Amino acid sequence: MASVSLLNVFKTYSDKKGGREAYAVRDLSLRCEDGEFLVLLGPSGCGKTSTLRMIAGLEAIGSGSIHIGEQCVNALPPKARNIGMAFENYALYPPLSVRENLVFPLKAKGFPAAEIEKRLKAVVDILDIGDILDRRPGELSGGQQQRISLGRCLIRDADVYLLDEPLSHLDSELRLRTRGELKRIHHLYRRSMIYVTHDQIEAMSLADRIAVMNDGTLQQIGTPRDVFENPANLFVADFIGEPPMNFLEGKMTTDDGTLCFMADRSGIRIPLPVRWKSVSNRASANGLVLGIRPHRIVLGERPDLPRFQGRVSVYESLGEAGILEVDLAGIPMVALTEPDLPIQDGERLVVSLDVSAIVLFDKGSGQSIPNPR
Amino acid sequence: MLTVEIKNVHKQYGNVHALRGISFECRKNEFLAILGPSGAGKTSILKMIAGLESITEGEISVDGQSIRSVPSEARNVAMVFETYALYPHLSVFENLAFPLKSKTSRLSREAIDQRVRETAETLQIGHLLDRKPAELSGGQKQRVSLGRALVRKTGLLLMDEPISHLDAKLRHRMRRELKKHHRTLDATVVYVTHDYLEALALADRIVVLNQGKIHQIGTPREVYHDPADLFVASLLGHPRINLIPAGVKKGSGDGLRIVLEGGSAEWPVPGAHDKWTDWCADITVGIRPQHIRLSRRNAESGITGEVYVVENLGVNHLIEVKVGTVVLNVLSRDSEYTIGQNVSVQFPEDRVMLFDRISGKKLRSA
Repeated sequence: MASVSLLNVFKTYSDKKGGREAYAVRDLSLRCEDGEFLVLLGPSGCGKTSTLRMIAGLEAIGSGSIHIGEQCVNALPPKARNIGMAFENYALYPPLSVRENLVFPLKAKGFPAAEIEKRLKAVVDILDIGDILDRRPGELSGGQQQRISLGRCLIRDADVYLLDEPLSHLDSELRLRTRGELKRIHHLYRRSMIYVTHDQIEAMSLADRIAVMNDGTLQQIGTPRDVFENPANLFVADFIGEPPMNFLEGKMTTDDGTLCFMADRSGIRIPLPVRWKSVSNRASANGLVLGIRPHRIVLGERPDLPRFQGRVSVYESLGEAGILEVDLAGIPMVALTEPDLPIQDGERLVVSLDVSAIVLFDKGSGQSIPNPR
Repeated sequence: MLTVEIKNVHKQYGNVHALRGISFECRKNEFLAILGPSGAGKTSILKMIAGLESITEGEISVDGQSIRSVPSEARNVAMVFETYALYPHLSVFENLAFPLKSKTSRLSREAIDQRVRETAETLQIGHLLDRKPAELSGGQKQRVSLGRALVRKTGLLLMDEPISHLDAKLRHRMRRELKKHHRTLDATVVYVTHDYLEALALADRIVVLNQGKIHQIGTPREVYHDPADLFVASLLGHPRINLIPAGVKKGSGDGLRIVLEGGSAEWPVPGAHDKWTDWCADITVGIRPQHIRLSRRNAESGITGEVYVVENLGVNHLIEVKVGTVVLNVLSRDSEYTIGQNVSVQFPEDRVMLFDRISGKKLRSA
């Protein structure tokens, strides 16, 4: 078990069209603590897989350093790094059975038979693969191969486990179950795990901390709660959460002594908690973006929250929840509601905004403005 | 706006009996969703209505007239497929105009121009008319594909998983867009999907299909809250409905009691047992994750369980609770649970569904 540190890591790749060099990863510094489940999250092309491959030693670093524990591993080949890997290319050995594939890393290291059996049983139970142990990889579905690959990664003792979208080929029920098992394994064994995904729900559910990446750079690193409630910038705020956060451009004004956010397009004024007053003196107070999450928009009137008249654009009743798109003076806002509500298209209704939970961003830089609590 | 009637239709591909005597109707201006996993036979139905596949046995009528007697050029049907199949060398305008330029079309150039612009405005792609498909985003291409079907103003629109391949964020947005546009469509729509969210959001009624057979036809509310059987109950909802094997035994006095397997909990059979139709001893108890109540204190009639996993999903948390040998999925806004903690689990009686474990059918009290 060990920590993993990246310090000022750069990685370039050649842009074939122009012959120019572009950055896959740019000045990346982050740390996965001993026993932590760190998720690298971002859209495709953000650099998360390049980062994982550099930690694994499958790709060379451009510049900077990577440490596993106390040791700088820049120059070490993958097998000298004491890591477990579950990558998209499963690399299962075709002539060996599933059982033989799973125990291969242990046999190679000379583990005693009793220990091998014990670990095999644990992995088989967790991944529910007892019925396919004697099959060959060629006879397995994509989802089954993926689980075997995951099993082979976990069966070893390693300082850190590196997983690249290990659940992507599983159907949604199996993915949910396997995700739960993975979380449990981590809770019980507390191994350092670095996990790459583009699925923000997966990241939220598994991570101790999430490192959000875009365009080769680290956007924010924090607990799921941190990145959800206090996103560092517009990219993080929009990427995490479904339905996505609502954004309104506008500026701060004072209306009869009440601090307000005035939206550009429609002129609606949203009263703000007094603690935001310090922001109104900043130069950026004229170019702001207000973010509010769909579950913070409530139907009907609340005594302590500002309310607005709106017209229903569309209401979707989706079983567990409802999604309401409401037009507030020309601005579309999406609210998360109860399902099965008797809401008609075009209906006028009142919504209340929970302004205690808004996030303000500087429109120019996209950075969030720290919440002056 | 047309009606569609499917009567006792069978479809065979060689030895494979893909559709086994299915019957349903789609009413004028209705948005009917056909929901089922891949291989259920849903696309076969659509292709038969469009005349792209032959009907092995049975009847399909559009507006009362059997489609066997209508030549394919005269069918008043437009189809939207999963793959856009936009002509890459034509502009968006030309792609939309293409279906209107066939030999059987009697529209003048001006009429075509107007129709294309109207359709583009409805779909909010009016500003993209000069672009080529390669210059469009996934969502924009999807709208052009939809536009190409709408522009003919046929009375019947057949849609085959038109948004399944989009990434989650875009798919949710396009689903909302489709719902908004449906109002402006003057057409009967038959929409095929494997995504239950699309069916619940968009459809007036849903036909639930599996392995060539219909399990239930009903409104979104009916199929979600009153599923006909285990298959329908499991198909709609995420996380899936919790299904717990149970049995019935004689209680004290004259009563019967439902006993969860492993004896972890029991409670009286709701209603008087002789009023139940189709009663049986091997049942499955079903309860949706958002309906289970957890508490840290021991309630009198509660079941006790152990927290197995806690997952933060953003707004909700998914808490897996182990009760006996069964792991229950619970959705809750409350997150203060830790692995290993003992909790009390309650099933509100009005949310519990009972199914016959062998036939899968839902048990109903009279």
